Amino acid sequence: MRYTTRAGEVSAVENVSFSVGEGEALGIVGESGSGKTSIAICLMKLLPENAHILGGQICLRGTDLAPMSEEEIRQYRWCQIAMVFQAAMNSLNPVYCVGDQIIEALQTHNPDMNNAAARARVVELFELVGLDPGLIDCYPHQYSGGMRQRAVIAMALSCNPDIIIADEPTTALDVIVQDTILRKMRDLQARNQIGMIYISHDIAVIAEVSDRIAIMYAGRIMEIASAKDIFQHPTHPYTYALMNAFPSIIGKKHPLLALPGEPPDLLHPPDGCRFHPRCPHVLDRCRREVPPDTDYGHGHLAACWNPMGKPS
Amino acid sequence: MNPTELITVTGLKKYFPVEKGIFRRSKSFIHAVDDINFSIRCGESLNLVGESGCGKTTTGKLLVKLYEPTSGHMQLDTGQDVLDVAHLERGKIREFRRKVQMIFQDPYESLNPRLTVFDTIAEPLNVQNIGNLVEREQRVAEMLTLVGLAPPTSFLFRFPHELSGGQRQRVAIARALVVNPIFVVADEPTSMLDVSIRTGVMNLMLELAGRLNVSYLYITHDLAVARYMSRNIAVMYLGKIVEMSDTEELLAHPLHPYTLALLSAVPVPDPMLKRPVAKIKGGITAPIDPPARCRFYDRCPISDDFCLTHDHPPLEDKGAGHLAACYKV
Repeated sequence: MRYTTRAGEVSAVENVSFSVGEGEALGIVGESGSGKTSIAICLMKLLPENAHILGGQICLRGTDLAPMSEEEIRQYRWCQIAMVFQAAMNSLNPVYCVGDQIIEALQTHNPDMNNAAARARVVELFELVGLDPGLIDCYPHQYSGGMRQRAVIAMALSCNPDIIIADEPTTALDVIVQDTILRKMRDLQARNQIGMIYISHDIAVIAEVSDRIAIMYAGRIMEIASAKDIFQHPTHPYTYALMNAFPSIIGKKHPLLALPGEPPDLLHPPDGCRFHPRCPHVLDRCRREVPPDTDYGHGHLAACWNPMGKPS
Repeated sequence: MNPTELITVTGLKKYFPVEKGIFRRSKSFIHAVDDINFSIRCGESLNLVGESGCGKTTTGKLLVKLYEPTSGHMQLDTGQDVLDVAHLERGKIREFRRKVQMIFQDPYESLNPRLTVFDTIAEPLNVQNIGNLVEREQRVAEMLTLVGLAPPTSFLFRFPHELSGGQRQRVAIARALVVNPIFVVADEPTSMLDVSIRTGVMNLMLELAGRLNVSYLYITHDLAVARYMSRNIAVMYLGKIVEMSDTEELLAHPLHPYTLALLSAVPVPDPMLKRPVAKIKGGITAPIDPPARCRFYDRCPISDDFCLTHDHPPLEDKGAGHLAACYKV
């Protein structure tokens, strides 16, 4: 996927492949500008005017969403693929009560649903996400940050989607609230067998909720593996660097190693591997050729010419 | 008073009025910082952690005199002089500003977009009348090299919009340290930065603290960052310090039920580890005219009638310099 800007073409997402199974949680970790949110809006087909999908497929249960028109995609969006947006404060309309907004979403996708049935469904959803149903007729400003996030999750769940994309669902929240929301989402996902795609810059949050983890850097997936493998056998030097740069409150305190340099400018992405200018393991080949995804077993893929250590 | 104390805070309070009613007559107060005491020794740093709205930034701003306290004392021992921060004489304010600086959270907002890097870093020197133009240029170049923006000539005449977030924060650090302060309040300096950039800035701050003998009050919401940044930690909740001790000791043996809940809620970058559930209810509220009882009473899993009928517990030593404000531990 590319964005056309006045300064030129930005290649935000480049040759990214992944799959999410029924009831599986995939976590996508990356820094700002690495293309994680771009992936989300591609999947939802909520592209801004200057963005284009140049190629590839988005298959949902065998149906390719990528070439669909706006009209066609509407049948899938929200009913089968829903999204929890980054800033819950901004994704609710401040002049409507929260309940009405969820009812609107429900009735748009189920035209024959009457008001009483929709309201009953909202009460059910509120209980599901742990909100007091008495708050249905309140406005978003009367909610706290955590409550708004729950309301947005309720909205995403409203049409029983097969897959939910959660883009930085808890970034603006305090840790204790974040913890309860993450537990709730994990619980709902397991109970209803929903596929989840969690997107975050925080590898600790992703580790909490994901079965598999994809590490993104500068528009490419560098490594994808089960959560356990990513942490125990990081193979790509970028993954390795991330692990070493992340402080933790458990275990022994160890010095953190910083990565030199800055992420590349995607107007002019570097040739070869996009990580090579900052890579401590760089080879000559990395500067010229794009590394292919190499399989290290159990679906552990990494795109590197010179991987770290021996993977599992 | 112990001569090695760099800064001593006693009974510090800051109340913000909340105006209510048609004629704005009924006044309530937000007790943003309510009777806190701590001290930082020369060359040491202190972490101040807590959730949003707990008063940590207000405390930081009080210490650099961006707010006037409602009451309380703050003493800064500069080595030559002991300054009473709350009631500085006019002539002492400039000296105080030279000794105490602040680094703000958002490097996109804290730098003037119309000033070049050189102007930004040289501004404190102009204000303090330090050196002539040539000396200032030298000093700025020296600072840029120190914060890792080398060679300085390629950065001197850039504007903030030409720098990345990490570079901006380095400029902000250079600006704060250019006047050789002895105490710097750092308010979430790395929370806006990406992981791979953040570690570099954190390492830089630690290295400079050792090299220039600066003490930080490091304000953060992230316990993992706090652990990395300083050996001492104070946990705030609704304007009160609820626990204060050595950082490792606090992480290993938290005493206060709030700290316990906070620790159990921190996500851990290890999928193999299962954490216990945080056992507290409700959310954080604004401390508007709070009752005298323990601030944490309503959410506390171990509170009883004693907590209800008594005032907020004092911050007491529970052994080996580990202080906690709770009747039950």
